[in-house]
Amino acid sequence: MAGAAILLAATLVLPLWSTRMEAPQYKGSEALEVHVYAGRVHGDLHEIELLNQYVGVHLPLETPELAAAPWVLGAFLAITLGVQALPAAARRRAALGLSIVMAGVLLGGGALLQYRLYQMGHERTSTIMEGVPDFTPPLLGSKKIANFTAFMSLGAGAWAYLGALALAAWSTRRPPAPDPARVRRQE
Amino acid sequence: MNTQARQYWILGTVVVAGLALGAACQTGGQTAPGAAAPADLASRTYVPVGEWDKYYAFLSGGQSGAVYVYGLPSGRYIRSIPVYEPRAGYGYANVPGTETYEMLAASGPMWGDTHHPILSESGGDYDGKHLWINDKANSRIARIDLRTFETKAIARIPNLQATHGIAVVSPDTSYIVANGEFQAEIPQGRLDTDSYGAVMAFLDPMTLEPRFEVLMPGNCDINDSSKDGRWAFTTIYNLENAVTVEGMIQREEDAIGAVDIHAAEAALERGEFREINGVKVIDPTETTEKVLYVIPVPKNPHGCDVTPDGKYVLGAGKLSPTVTVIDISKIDQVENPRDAIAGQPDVGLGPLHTTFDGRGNAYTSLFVDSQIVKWNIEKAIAGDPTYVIDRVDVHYNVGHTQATLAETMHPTGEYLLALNKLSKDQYLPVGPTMPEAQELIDITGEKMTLLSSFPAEPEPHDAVFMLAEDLSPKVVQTEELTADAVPEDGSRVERVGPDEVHVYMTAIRSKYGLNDFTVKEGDKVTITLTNIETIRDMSHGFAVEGYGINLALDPGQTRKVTFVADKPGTHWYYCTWFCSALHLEMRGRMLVEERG
Repeated sequence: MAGAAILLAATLVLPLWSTRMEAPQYKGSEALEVHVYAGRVHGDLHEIELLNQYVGVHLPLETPELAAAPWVLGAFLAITLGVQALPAAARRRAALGLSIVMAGVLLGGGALLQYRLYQMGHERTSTIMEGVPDFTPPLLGSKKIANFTAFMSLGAGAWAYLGALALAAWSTRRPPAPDPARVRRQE
Repeated sequence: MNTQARQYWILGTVVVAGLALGAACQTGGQTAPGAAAPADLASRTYVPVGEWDKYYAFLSGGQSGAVYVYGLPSGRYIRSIPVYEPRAGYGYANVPGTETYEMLAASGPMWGDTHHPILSESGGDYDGKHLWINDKANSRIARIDLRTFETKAIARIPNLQATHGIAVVSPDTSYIVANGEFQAEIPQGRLDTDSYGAVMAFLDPMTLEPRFEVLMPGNCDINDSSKDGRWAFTTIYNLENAVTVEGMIQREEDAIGAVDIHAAEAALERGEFREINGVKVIDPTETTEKVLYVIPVPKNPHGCDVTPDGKYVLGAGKLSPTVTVIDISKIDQVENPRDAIAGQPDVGLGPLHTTFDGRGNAYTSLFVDSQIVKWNIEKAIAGDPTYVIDRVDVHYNVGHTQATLAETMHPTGEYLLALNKLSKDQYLPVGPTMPEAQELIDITGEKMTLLSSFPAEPEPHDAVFMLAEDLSPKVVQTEELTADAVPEDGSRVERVGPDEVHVYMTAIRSKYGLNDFTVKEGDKVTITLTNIETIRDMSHGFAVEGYGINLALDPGQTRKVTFVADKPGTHWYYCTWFCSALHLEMRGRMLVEERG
């Protein structure tokens, strides 16, 4: 569980999910990037907002789930550290519970993000520029939006979360029973 | 067959054979050894879409008062840098009440005649910081900042008429040397045709103020410096001190002048100068240490070029078919200045300028012969009759010629540009006056290969090149916000007096910070505008209808204009740099109220 704690700490500082937007005049180092962290969104938001005035994409930069993310991840981290003090059997039960909740948050978070992506392409603030139909970028993969192609991917923080989840699940296992043959030899 | 018939047969055979031979010679002439097929030549200058040229080429813009920037080897015209002339598209000096206008107007007339671009050096190589350009017509010099490709300083040089040759003093740009070509009164501003003189000015590279000047004989033409910072050389014509063409070509010899910069600095320390117009002027006939060496060369020489290894200075004959090779190390060692001459090879008619490949070869432009001649310097000095290696015809009447990085201590020896004075039939006719022709020559081989030709507005006299990899990383993509920048929420109108209004505005896609502002007829209006874009190439303009105002702003740049709102009514202002899908809508109104 110590490993899981380190990985959970990493989820608080590393990007969880990223988009890279490329267009002929926005390529290489000039491609536009958005990185979603626990509690905040970083990247070329200024330029995206300037371009967005013609497309009117809804940019959900302040959402309850984004604000809650550092608290939820922080709670997981606290639990992971706290259960170290418990006896082995209780620790396994706690790990089981944590794994289930973490998996639930993963699924729920993914679903919420996909919903926000749907909102982005559908709840348009304006449609100054015609010829850009409503769209839904996938959680992972790519999507052509106007003259841009957006590439969506998991950030290092998400991989750390998955690693923490795997470690938590792994630590729910019982220790193996003593090998009878080996016990006999010692007698 | 009778005799007559046989004679006809023989005659016929001879004629056919003769025609065939002639045709063979004709074909042979077209595919001479070493000549490349057009497709091969095209591929050697082709730069694919989206890729960059290997070299920047800076060409002087002559009477456009500008510097042209091309890419080599493609010959693509990339931009011009306005220096001595207003250029509305760049918002340069085109509106009174702007900074660039005030800078140019304070230095002299609103046009210039640029001849010689030179690049800053560190350690004998280009450092990509600054470019200087002369204005012959108004005795000025200007400095361009290569971070932004904008003119940053212009100065009229005191005590001097017609800034002609300019040079960086190698290896670390300790001075900019500027030749005053025309003789006139020193100091100027009075008529006294008996007291003519000319100076070579040694300028501070940044402020362009003279640190000192040296009185020179005759007319100083083209100059260069030694690679160790000690010598400034110039070709000198009209030692007759004449004022007519006929008078200027009387003597059989003119000279190359060599100014010992260290001796001049020592003279300054000893107080051996006169202060004229606030400038320390050294008369080389009155100094303890010898400051000026005068080496005789055939009359009316022109080009003055130091070899990349710093061993020789070459004076091109112009009216003499020779190039005089002077051994720099001997200049202060010999009793008779002629003994410093190492050689005087005959190269062809009308030699004007010489450039180098760094492999011991010189390339001299021949104005009369319309050729570039390649010759080996050491062979010429040794008297080896095979010193001329190759000649290539150029079109036509070549003036300056420059090889890539030939002015540094490490020429790349890759391309050479012939800057031709006449193009005549080379391009589509565009009236009786044709553009000038630049011809690109590959000099990597033993023989030269003429690759391509591209035109330019009159008239690039000279050119300098930089490797793109050395300069492009230093060019900024956006300007840093200055202290007077208008912040994103700082657009406002302030009335600062009964007749004075300050307007502060931002510009960003696709809106100005103010949709409109109101002033009173007769108000003195100062508009401060900041382009708050943060990405490359997102420039905005600001033109005010009917007021003759057009600003151009790089991303991050702040510019100001002051004018009197003397025309009542609605005057739209709009963006002149196409910026976005709503560019046409990017505009606002200046509302000028009539005074009762």
